[in-house]
Amino acid sequence: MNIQAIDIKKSFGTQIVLSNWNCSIPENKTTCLMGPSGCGKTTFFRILLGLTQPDSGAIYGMENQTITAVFQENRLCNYLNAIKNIQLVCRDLDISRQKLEDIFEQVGLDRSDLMKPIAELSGGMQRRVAIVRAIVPKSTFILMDEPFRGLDTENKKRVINCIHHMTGGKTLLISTHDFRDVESLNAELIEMGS
Amino acid sequence: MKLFISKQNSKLKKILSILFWLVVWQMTSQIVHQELLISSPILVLKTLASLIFEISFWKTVFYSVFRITSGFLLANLFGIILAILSYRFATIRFLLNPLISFVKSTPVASFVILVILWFGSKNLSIVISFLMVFPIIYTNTLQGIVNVNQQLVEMAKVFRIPFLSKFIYIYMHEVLPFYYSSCLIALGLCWKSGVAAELIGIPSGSIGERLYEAKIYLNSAELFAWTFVIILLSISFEKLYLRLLAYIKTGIENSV
Repeated sequence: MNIQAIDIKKSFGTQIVLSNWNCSIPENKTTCLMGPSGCGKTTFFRILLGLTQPDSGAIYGMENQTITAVFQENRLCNYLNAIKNIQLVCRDLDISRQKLEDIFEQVGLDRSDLMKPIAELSGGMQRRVAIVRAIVPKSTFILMDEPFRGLDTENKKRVINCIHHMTGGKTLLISTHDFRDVESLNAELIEMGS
Repeated sequence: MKLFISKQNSKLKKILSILFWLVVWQMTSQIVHQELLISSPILVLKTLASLIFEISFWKTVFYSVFRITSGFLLANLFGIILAILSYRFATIRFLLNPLISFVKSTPVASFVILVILWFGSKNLSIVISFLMVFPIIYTNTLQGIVNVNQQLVEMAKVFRIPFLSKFIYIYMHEVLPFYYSSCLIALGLCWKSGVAAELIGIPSGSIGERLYEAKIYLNSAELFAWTFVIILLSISFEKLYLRLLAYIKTGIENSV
């Protein structure tokens, strides 16, 4: 079942962020959400994640979804290392440490990086840990809010390959400002107006 | 190697500074030349050496240690629980605010007299050390909870992190530095206020009573010896408790 957003309205004080927003996110496919800054992409993500309540409107198709996410900020526990950050969100997951290390290697993080506390990693490395944290746990719907921000071309390519490899059959919604991401992710496109 | 040398150096400096003040003390007592006013460190040490072989000494130490640490631990328990409840329920916070301000600004002596009137002097040091420690623990813990990174809390909600993990790895880790700093203040204060309360209330078998007797009998050496015991107990309890907190922090960081 597709995820449907019907007539979503959201304003903060006098500022209207979403006005009668409608969209359909196809099931088991990758969709890119594009739009200028401030058009309400993050607010829409927060509504989908259940972190913000819309003023009116409804979201359908979220009932049985298991969600994971990459937030606009990395939101990692800075004092834990990369492996422990993953284990924190999926302790019951049947995944070996070796497999986790392999996944991290795919996104360009070697074993020595994984042993360091997150605070000691660069911004780009932290971003990749946040992405791995979203794609490793068992989930049906993955939301990524500007996941490639701060990544260089090479690492971005690696991350996109990893996303392709790891998220087959899942519903993905990725917000981006770069039209080339839509092509490389082989994604459907939803455009948001200002 | 460098770190080892600098650690050795700092230990040596510490010992030297203590020795310096002991020499100053010895010289002052020789200049004043009145054991009644200021006993020499050697005499204090001799008095202490004779005290520790008395059973009554250990009974007295146990009496005060048990009561003062009980007051401290109870204040921690109530302070933490009420801080969590205050964060969760604004009404509790509003109700507690005036009470905390009242306890903070009321002189210890007033509390001591009230507690003696209401409950007698036997458990005086428990109540007084509780009253002195509770507002510090409560205020700092609440401040710590308020400062918990809300972005991590949201992340935990989205990823459905179990309550216990969320409590340990997000809340506890973020609140611990606030709690730690409150303990640094409270640990010394509970001993100072607890013994001061015992000195006013003179509960039988307490360190306060022994200090009072030393004063009555003008036994300056015993007064100094008991003061030294209090300092030793206070520092030992402080080191032990702070080490426990550091152990908990390391435990959180090394386990998931």
